[in-house]
Amino acid sequence: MPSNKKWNPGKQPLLRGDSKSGVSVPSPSADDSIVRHILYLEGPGRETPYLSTSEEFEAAKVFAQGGAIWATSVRKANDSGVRHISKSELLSCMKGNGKGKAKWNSAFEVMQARRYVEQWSEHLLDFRTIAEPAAVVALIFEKT
Amino acid sequence: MLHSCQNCWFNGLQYGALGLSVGYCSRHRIILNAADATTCGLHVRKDLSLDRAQQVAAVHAARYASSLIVRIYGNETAKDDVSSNERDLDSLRSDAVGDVVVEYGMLDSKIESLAQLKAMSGARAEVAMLSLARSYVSHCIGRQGSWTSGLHLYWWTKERLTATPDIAITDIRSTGGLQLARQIELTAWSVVMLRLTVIDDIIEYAAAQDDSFGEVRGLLDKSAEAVSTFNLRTLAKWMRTEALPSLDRMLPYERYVELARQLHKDQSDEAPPAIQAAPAPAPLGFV
Repeated sequence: MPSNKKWNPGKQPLLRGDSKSGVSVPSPSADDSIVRHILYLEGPGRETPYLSTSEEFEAAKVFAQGGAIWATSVRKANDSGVRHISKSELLSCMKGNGKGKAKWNSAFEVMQARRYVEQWSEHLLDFRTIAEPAAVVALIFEKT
Repeated sequence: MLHSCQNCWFNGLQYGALGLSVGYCSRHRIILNAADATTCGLHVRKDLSLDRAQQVAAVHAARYASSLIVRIYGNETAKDDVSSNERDLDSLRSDAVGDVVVEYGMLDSKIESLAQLKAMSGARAEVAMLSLARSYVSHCIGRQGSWTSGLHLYWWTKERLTATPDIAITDIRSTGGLQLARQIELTAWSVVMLRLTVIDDIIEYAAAQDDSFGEVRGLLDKSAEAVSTFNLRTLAKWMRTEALPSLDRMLPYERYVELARQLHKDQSDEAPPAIQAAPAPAPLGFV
């Protein structure tokens, strides 16, 4: 059920649909364009320094595709040095040709990415500064 | 999700949250029971512009076989994911849009099926027409056809460019946790942009063939630069004041009629061409 209440970062989890065996491990040194990540241009198996998560269980379920739904929180991510890029932060930097790491050469693709962020209530976890991403992923996510 | 059958231009029955619970692949001629989870090497994304869709398709084709519909994760087939069972096809044909999509390319000309979809009301019929229009024109171009093979599709799409898509509650197959009204707004925006993408495809083909119509390239980016919200009224206003005058300047009604006459003359002069498989898109590399 969609929630009418605003998502609370202090109380509610960030959810991710992934395989049953574990959450995909990000590559901190991979290309860090946010639009490229959200549009999933290289498809399955691509390298990305980000992990997509959602406020909504229903959205995470769609991405789980028969796998599992994993949960973490903004606090857990921050405690491990992983930066949380909130949905509102993503939406605010995705206008026109985008800003910061969401800067992109196609304004149309920025808008499509913006639509997906809103559609999937997406938040990113930024692993660019994490030295041991596999260990941190295992530490902060738990299976629901 | 974005590399799944639901977002492929060969599937006219689904696009994002919009559509039936099953899709239909007009290349494999098969019902897609798990269109959010499956893919194949022929996949072409319909949410991207032509150049980008071709780049992404080339990467995708290297990972998946063109002859099999498989799970995106694991690359394995699952027998219940697809169906060509007659009873299932009959059920799908009981839906008016499903009926035209299943028949697409089977009997009469493909453009006739597209004309049928154009005449039907509702966003599902429109998405079917727009999706299959993209694959149709690409197929014609791949057989050394002229950009004018998309002439009527361009004109029909341009005529409804500023109209608000007619999305019924029953057209939404999932909300993904989003509020229903907002899901409908976002879906309506995606349908309007799919119209503009079809127009942009045809402009790109015209540009590649050095036709003056190609001079209006870049409408997708211009629209997103001008309107950075999902407000359809603002978008329609921009289209009325900026996009349509540019399009009409480069392809006025008189030229449309002249090109259409030429197109019909060429078609009646030629024997019907044999059906061939569309060539794989050229790997262009990422920008």
